[in-house]
Amino acid sequence: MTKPFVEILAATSPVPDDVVELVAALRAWCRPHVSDPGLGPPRARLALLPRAAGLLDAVSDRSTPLGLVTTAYERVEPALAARLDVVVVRGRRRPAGIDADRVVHLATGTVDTSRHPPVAPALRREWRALLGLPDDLVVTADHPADHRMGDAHLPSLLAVAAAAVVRGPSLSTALALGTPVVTDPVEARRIGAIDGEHVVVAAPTDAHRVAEALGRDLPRAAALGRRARRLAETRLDLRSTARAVAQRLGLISSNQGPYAGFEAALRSLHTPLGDPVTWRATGRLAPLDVSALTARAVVP
Amino acid sequence: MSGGAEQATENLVAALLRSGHRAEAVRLPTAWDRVRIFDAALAWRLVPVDADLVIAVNFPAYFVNHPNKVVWLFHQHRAAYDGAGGPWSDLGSDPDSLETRRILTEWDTLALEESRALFAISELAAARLAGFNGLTAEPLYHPPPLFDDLHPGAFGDAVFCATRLEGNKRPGVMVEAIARTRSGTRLEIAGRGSLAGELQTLACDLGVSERVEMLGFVPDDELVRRYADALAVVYAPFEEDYGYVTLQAFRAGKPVITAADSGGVLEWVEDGVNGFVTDGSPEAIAAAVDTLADDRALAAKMGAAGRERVAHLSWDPVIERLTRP
Repeated sequence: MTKPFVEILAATSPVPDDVVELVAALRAWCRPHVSDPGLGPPRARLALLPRAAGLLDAVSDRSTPLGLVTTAYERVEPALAARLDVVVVRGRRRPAGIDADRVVHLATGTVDTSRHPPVAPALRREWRALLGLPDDLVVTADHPADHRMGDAHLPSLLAVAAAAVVRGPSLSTALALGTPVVTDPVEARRIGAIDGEHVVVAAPTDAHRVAEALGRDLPRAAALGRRARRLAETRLDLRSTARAVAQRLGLISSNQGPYAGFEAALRSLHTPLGDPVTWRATGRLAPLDVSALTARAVVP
Repeated sequence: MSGGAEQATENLVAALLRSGHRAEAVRLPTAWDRVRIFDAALAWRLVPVDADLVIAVNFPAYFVNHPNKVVWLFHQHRAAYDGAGGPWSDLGSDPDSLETRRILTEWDTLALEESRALFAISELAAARLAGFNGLTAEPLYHPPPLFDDLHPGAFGDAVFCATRLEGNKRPGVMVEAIARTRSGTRLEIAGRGSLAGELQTLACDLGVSERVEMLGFVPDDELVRRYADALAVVYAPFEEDYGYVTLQAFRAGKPVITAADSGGVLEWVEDGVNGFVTDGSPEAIAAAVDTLADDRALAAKMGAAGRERVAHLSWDPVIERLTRP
């Protein structure tokens, strides 16, 4: 089945990287593309504009679902506000005149959680023993140079640490990995993390000592890591943001056919792309000629 | 004799029925090897259950997808958690095992945290859940099977235990302990399991086969009688989830001799008050047996304290908590 065409209305100025990634993530449900008569009428439109002014004039078709990705928090004129199905804004603020249920927040410091699966504290301890690392390993990543270690090294350390002191771009990665994290109030606020819920907030001078204590407290570290992971999944992962946008643009049907339950079961368990259990399950079903399902099973 | 979880499930259904609910147990076959461990979880995810309320009690049943799911956790797949690396687990600390355990931990966490309410069978089960999955569960204690039938009796010349004869129950320690007693106390073991033959051989090797009686399966009325006639109950499993044996012994007014690493048993046995918490060695258990054999008044006093300790147990508050909207 061909995915629906979603027309992208882009400004001439460069589109920010995270917005480009958001549009890419939408490909799970649609074909986002600039206007092209060859693609036929769009199922929905998504405007990528710094400001909303003039958008209504640019869209003559009033029945096609319309979304706006904007960086402006200005009041949206009532006619446009009534017309918009979804508004994507950066951070926690929202434009005046738009109902909260039509606003989707584009987080600061996004992370692809599928690339950084969570590791619970008890298993971290076993990994440290296996790798010959200290049982009380606390990783510190609070200097710009720490985050330039490369894609592989820092996440690997964060995945086995008893706890970590993190500030800067790796904070989202640490949260996705379920790392018990100590950070400062500004960083916590930046990504919408709550002290004691998702992270522990401490002054830089105290952070390492607090992290050591946190690493020794297994139940507390496990609870913090679990909630940190959920924060990363729901608020910091562009795929969640894209899903919310796709939902509001009517791109996700509530009934996806006879295999919807199976897909939903795998999705509800956050089964990673290419995970062995997915292949085992689809393999078992292969003799039943469920090619449509197996084709979709690789969609993240 | 079936396992504790099976008995508890049957008794839970019976208690729900007595409370005026319509209830039935749903079971699916499960493979426990590391390759197929996820299959049953996924199967449960797809089982359509059109009940008003689902109460899931163990792995992998809590993967059932239901808007009104309450979990009363007896145990997870312990071979992937505290039992990993143990003799009854095919999962260890090699990289493949750790990744399998990581995925299972993630799945478990997701399936359990979506429940409307989360309870555990004991403080120990709740503590495991907190340590491994970062989830908080409220312990909810229930009476063991035969609770209304068990009663105190005379303090005979035998210590008793009803248990599955498997490695994690450590029945061999009881036989070794009996061989070290100086009081000539006998041991009666009810239950079946893979270690039955090994225990017989051990008793022969230690020269106590005449003092160790392997009863095999015993019907309920005999079980009640054996408890009533016992001097004490010896029960020293490894990290038990809950331990019906302890509660049944206390209900029958018998002191319990256990070990410091027996898990949920320790939530009930208070050293020197209603039994003895030993270091689990045959010597220490033998000494506790001899103490009670020498002082029947002490055995009676401890047994009475044990009976008092479990007097409050009832299914009514359990059902009320599990079904509370």
